[in-house]
Amino acid sequence: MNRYFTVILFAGSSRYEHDRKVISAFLKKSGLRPTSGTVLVLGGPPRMESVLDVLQDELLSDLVLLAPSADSEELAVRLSVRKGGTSMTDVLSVTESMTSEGDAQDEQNPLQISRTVYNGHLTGTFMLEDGPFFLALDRSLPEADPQTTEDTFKMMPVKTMQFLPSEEDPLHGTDRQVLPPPEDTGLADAPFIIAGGRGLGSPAKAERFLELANQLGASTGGTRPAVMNGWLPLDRLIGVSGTLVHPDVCLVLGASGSAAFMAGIAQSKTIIAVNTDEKAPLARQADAFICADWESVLHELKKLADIQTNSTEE
Amino acid sequence: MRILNCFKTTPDFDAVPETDWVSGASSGVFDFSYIKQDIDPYSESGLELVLRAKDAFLKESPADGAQLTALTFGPAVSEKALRTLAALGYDECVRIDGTPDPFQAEQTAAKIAAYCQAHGPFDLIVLGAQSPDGGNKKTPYLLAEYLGMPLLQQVTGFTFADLSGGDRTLPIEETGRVTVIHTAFGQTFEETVDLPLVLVIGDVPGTLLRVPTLRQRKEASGKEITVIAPEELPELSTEAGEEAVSSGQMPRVTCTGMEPVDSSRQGARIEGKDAAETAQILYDNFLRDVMEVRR
Repeated sequence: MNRYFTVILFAGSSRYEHDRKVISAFLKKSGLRPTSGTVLVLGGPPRMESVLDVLQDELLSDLVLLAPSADSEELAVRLSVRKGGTSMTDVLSVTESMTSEGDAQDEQNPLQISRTVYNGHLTGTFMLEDGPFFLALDRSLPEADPQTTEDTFKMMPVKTMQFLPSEEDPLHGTDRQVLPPPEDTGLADAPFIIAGGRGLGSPAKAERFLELANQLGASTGGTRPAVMNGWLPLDRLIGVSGTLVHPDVCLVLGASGSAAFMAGIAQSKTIIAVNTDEKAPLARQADAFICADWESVLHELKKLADIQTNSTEE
Repeated sequence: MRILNCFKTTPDFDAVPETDWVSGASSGVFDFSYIKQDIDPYSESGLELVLRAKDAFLKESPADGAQLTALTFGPAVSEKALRTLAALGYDECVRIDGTPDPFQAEQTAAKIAAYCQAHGPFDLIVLGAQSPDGGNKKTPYLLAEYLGMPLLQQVTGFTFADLSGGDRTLPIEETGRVTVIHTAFGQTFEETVDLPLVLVIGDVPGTLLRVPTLRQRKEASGKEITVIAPEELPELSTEAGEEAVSSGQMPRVTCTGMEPVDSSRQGARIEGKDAAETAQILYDNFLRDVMEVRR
């Protein structure tokens, strides 16, 4: 693709390095040449309303790529309205969509992008006809290695913009307190995860699940229903709207295997599912499946672990 | 204070058999009519949070100034959810009749914005972050732009701020502010902000919509559901909206194909003669290296 483009990153974000790596890999996969790109780093932390007011005049690119985040999605969509263009979120890929008369290098050509739809069950391809295009990338996209990332970003001029509170911002001057950040659960990088779903059954059983999983040395996570029922805290949510994990082993208990959850554990080396319903979709999406009650399996594992420990101590 | 809560009902897509995804993707035709419809999860949290905020305020103040409207743009099947909301205390329950294309968020947002202009203004508009069908994550942001309203996203809670200085006789519309907990740029804030405002609800545990009692249902049985034909709604009149939705200027987004997401793995069955043996096989083959017992 031979288009001029702008990459938008947020300075100070804990995901800043990750975002750079994702953008780098995405550019390579899409055939977008770094020499045609510029990087805009937004610092502050900014107020979205202020950012929008400034960028609607500053941004002139026909293609704007934003690192994966909820803030990027908001920025992409709202800027597209102000600039009379088209936005898409959760973008997995982008290619030039040449019309019959079109030239591969014509910036007026439509773009073709892909993203998942229907709760992650399908990947859809979409043709976007009206630029400028604002694309917020998908959270599941892979990272490039550090050297490739450095090489890619070396080729792109970087502009940093600091955003200070503006009196024109409709939310300026509001009484604003920063709440303490939640403790890092370590879930994202845990080597062994035991995750529970709706099949955990009740708050009391969910407590038992947490206790046993902890005794087995696993990090714990859960599906959306388990978290929304209040059985597990929000920071334990695994899936497209929670943490994307990549453990060596992910043992999933009492979950059916919704597409949104599966996207969250897709990078696991080994997935083992335990469910009393052998027709649960997860039975086919796991490397190994046990048709049983999760509690009995976890209890037996605990016994085995105890035997193992005792024999080591002796 | 007038509060608009927008929601969508969609089929439970996780209940659709894999074979239907495969055939639908190749033919481009999907029939979800046999699948149970649910309020989308983010909207459900928003609907419950509004009820909680109203409950809390009314407990504090005798002034009853919060007028709740529940709005959906969808087919007649969505009315079941509207009836539930009517029983739970939503004063007005409205359906814009139609089956919106799940991938044309601009058109959906334009209809909601047109409704707001014709039947508003609303002080607070609450929407879920995304619905499961298109999953566009666009409608709340488009709506805020079309109406020229500020917006806070990733909202996990809010209350009506009591700015009456202890004067509990003041109606809520005179206090005119809400205290919101939300996340932006990696930080979580609690702030008290002026209205009007759009709130986009994120993941909020423990906010499943309450179930109305039989008595509440009976009391609301006479409540009318307002049905509006899309063509009855006027054109938008805000600057951004006018530009965006005037004929032919909507961004053209065309779905050109779909493919099932294949996340299948080996699915090997582990089956011992009893639970102990099954656990032993599991341990020997997969867990020996990762399990580390904590006491």
